[in-house]
Amino acid sequence: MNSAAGGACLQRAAALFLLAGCLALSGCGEPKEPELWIYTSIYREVLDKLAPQAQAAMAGVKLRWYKAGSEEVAARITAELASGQTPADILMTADPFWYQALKEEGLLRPYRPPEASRVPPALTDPEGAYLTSRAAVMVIGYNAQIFSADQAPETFAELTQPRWQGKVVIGDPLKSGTALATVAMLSNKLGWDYFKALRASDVVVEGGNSAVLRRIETGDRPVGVLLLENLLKARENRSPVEIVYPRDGAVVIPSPIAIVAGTDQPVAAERFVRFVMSPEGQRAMVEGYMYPADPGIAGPKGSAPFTSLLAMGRCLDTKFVREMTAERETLKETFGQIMFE
Amino acid sequence: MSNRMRHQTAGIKPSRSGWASPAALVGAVAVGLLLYFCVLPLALLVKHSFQGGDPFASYRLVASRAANWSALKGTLTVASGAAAIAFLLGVPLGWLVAATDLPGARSWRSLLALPYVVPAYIGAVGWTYLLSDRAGWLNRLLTEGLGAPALPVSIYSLEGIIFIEGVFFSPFVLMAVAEAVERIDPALEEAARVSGAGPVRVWLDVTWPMVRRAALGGALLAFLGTCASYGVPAVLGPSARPPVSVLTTRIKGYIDLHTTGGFRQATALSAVLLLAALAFPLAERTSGSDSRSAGSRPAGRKPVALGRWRTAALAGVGAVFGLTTFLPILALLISSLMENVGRGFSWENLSLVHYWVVLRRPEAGLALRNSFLLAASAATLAVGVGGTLALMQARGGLRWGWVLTPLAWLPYAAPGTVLAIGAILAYTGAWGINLYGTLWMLLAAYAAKYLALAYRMAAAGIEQVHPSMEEAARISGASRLRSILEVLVPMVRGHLVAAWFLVFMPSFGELTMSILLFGPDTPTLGTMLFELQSYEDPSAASVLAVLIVAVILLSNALVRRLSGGRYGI
Amino acid sequence: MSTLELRALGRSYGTHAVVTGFDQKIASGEFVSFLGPSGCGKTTTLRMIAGLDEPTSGEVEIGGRLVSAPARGVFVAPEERRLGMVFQSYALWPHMTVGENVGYPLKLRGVSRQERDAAAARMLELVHLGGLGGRQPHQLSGGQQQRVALARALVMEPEVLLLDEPLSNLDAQLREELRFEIKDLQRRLGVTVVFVTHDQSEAMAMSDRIIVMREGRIRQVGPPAELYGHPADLFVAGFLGLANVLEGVVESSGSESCRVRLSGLAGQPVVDCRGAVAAGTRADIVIRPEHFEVAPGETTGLVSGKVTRVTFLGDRVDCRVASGGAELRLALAAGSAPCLGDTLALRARDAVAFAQGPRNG
Repeated sequence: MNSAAGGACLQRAAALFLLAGCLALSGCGEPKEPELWIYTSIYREVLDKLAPQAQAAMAGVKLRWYKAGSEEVAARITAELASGQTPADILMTADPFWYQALKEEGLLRPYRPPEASRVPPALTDPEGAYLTSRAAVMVIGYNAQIFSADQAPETFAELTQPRWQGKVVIGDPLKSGTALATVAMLSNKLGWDYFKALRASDVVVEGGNSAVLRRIETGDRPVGVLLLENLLKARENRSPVEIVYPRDGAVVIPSPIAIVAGTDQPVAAERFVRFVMSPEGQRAMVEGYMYPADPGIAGPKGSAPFTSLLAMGRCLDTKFVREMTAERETLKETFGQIMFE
Repeated sequence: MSNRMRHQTAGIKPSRSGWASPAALVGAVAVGLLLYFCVLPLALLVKHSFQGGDPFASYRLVASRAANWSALKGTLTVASGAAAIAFLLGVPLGWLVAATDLPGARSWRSLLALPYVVPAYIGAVGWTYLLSDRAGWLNRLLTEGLGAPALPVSIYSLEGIIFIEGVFFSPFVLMAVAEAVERIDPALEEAARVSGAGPVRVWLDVTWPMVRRAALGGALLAFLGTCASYGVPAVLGPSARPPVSVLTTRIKGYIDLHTTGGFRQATALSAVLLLAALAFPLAERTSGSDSRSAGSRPAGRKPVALGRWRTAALAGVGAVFGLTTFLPILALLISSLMENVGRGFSWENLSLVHYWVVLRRPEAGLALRNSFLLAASAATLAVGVGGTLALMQARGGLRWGWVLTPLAWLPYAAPGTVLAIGAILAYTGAWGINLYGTLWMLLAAYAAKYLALAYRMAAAGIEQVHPSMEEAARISGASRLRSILEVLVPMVRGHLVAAWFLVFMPSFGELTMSILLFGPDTPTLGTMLFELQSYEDPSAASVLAVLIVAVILLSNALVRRLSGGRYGI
Repeated sequence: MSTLELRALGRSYGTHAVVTGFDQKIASGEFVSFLGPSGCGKTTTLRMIAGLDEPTSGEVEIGGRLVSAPARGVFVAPEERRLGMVFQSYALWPHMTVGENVGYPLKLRGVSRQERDAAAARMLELVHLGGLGGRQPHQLSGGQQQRVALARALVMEPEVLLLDEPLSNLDAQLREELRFEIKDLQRRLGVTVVFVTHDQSEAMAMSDRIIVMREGRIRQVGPPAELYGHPADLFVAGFLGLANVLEGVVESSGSESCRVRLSGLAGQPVVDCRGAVAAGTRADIVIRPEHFEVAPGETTGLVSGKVTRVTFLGDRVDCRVASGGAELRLALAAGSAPCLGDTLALRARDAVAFAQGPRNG
């Protein structure tokens, strides 16, 4: 009995250190059914709708989802590629510059499904390395408890005016891909002087869109530049925020989808892209309050028509993305110098 | 006689206590785990930073940027400030709860460790509700409610970041000081009193020199932890006036370039923090005199009577607790109960909808289970490995201990993102095993990240046990392993449980590494929190924060209940 | 019980030798003390016997069983040596009761709880702690803790009992009491005992033989009386008991004795000494305090000095006498106590001379 007690002690200790051995074993030995790995930043609501539909449409292939922010997906892919390979087959995130960079490094496998013909040409990579699956739109939001509709700002440009001094919050391009896209567009159209003027009028730079939203909601900074989808969702949840589509052009940011060059499931990957671009897949995007890339499918409830936004000319089309991709580092650096130094 | 002869022949056949013995095997496994899980990922990263045509190109590039130098200055300012706050809070509080007749001292000790229970970035969010520039509830109370002149305190400031980090790490100092105070032989203080020293003099001349090392060690830990922290400066830094930039946010910026060059520059910049980790054990060793005592804690220590200061001390402790810990948690709780924080305080805005939103999520139960299992396993693993390393270091079984132990500090000083990327480099098959997309990946990362805390706490415990305790067991007939398990481990159980909690708590709500390492079937509370934070209503994130705090408090209470109040934080 | 044989035992850390060429055989049932100043290697030697320290050379044999022999790759772990040991700090485990402490060695050998408890109770009875088995160690006094440690060391009837300065943390009265208890237990159980101490009175009171060590080497081995009466060198003479160490020049020398003129003392007295030291050379002279006697009336050829201190000790008187530049220590019969300031003429009844070698330490 006593030796048994001692033995149990030893066993406990041994078990602890055997964990290491188990670690080694856990990575292998799972049954092999063809798997398609999708790395995406689409919202939970979209995924909840899209994933079962996609799985149903793709019998025989197990869909595996890694869902995180665009930045995390990109960081993970970069690290995986540095380690030799990535399990990812499909990338579906929000940062168009990254896809252009991947394309230039030859890391994407071109594919242009027939469904892509419905997408505006400006949103389609000419070589078909990536295409737009949905679009986010950067607008102005304000706290309706503090300003009435006729007091609200109407353009991005006017946010530098004295009456908005100390009242504006914008996203941080160092942390958020959509904020970076917006800075790329606005610095291109309005010049860096615009951001210098914003700094001079005591603009606050917050991390991501939800942080911007919170600042607006609490009234800390009642006016902000953020994504339409955040505002639509907040309004649905009875938040006191309202939306302004700036007259000088809401920034349309396409969210691409692409196939990874090293995929071992090319056929399944192409099937998946076709599904996402199909009317069924495109309709799911609306669940996340985003615009489907196919203008023929209605946008989210309570939003302006997609074509009218595209017509305002502040869309990150493929030409713009191609030109700006190499400039990303400079953009962040310049923005950092203006805002943080 | 024949029996004796048999023994003689048996004796000549080597029965060595060499590599084959179970104890040595355990030691070898611990060292192996240390090298594989703490050193390998970071070594791969550092190797990466030297790649390319010119091995030092990334370093030169990083050094040429003024922004990096100001980030370094920012890191040093924030970390020294936080260490100072942790020190200034932890020393008096630690002494009050451990040495005096402060009413409810034992409970205060648990309560004052609470800041560490709340992940720092969650605490930061709580504070933004209270002290954001204009809309912070406290600020509005001060200006609108009490008609104070418009002088709102903003948490979006250098001071705000320092304050939150300092409060978060203050339990390190508090716990170390409380523990050191309890170990002081009361005769030493009594001797000083008899020699004619007043209470203050006794404190300065006798008590303080004996707790100095513990206090400074805790402050150094706070310094290093703040250097590596990302959440708080990321949430508060950019909107501060003037903006606060630190190394970790710069590193994340480089990583977010998603280019090979950016990645190398990120690792080059991380190397600065890794150097700080290597210097840590040295700094700690030289930080003061050794208060090692041979026996167990002296019995019969009488609490110092505070006399007429008792009420004042109670009020002070209560005020510190309320202002540093209770308020932000309360703010999180309140915000979690608001349908929308923008609509302010009203009956109509009171709602449990966010609890509903969070708890009905299909992955909520799985995330809770995963996080609990992961945090508990990581804590157990870290205590096992850290305890073994500490033991080998303390008992001279580890010839290269002075090289190995600083290595345990590397992951603690590395920003979570950097460590996670290192883990991806190391454990996706290129180096023996593939943990990708499994819970093991997260377990390895958590245990590695917080190993140093377990190591340090275990070492503090072992230091107090004289080796003759185990030797007596050996002579009594116990093997080395058994003497450790049946004599040493029970004697340092309190320290091991505390070490366990030091790893469990930050692992339970861990976000930075989890978001990069989790797989499709392995959501954690951290990844869920990330999702809620980035898209759902901020109140939903508060719900999860409240749940995280609640679970940790319950676990602690449970452990304390089961152990009759002896163990826990 | 068991013999213990140490052959050319050595322990060094790098180039620093802690114990060198320790060669000794200890008979079954013998009580042997390792005596020496701290750092002389006595504890290291004990720990090598116990297996808590590994020798770098030489061999250890317990009861005819080779347990340490680095040259032959032999090392038996301490738990397999079947020893009892009492530590200076007692090393009672605070998480076990007194009874559990004593019963632990039996538990390790798979003895049932009932038998264990019975044996522990018996052992506690033996060390006069009957009925205290349920206490926690910290509830006991120092002397009681010491007895528990002793009971624990003896509970499995070891072949050899090792005692590492077991009495040094106790007060004087308790120390004396325990000396005899340990000695008594040893006689009754017939166990072989190795006793490490720096206290010569302990060693003399308890040991069959004393091994005096210095700087890692054995200086002298023998029964207490022999060491006291016939020290092998000045160090042993000085370490065992009180000794006046004086210097002189040998005037004449016999086969086992010599005549020495003491320098440094008033009157350049001459004493007859045991020990053959060549005439004309300088010698160190050891005179025990009790070997001085007051010679009333005479002065020539005797040590003369002035009494500087008198301490009454009951059975005898401890005197200090200043003579020349030296101070002598005398133990006189209680009846013949001199007064402070008296000038005494002293004769040495017994003295030992040692040739002055090259001085070491």
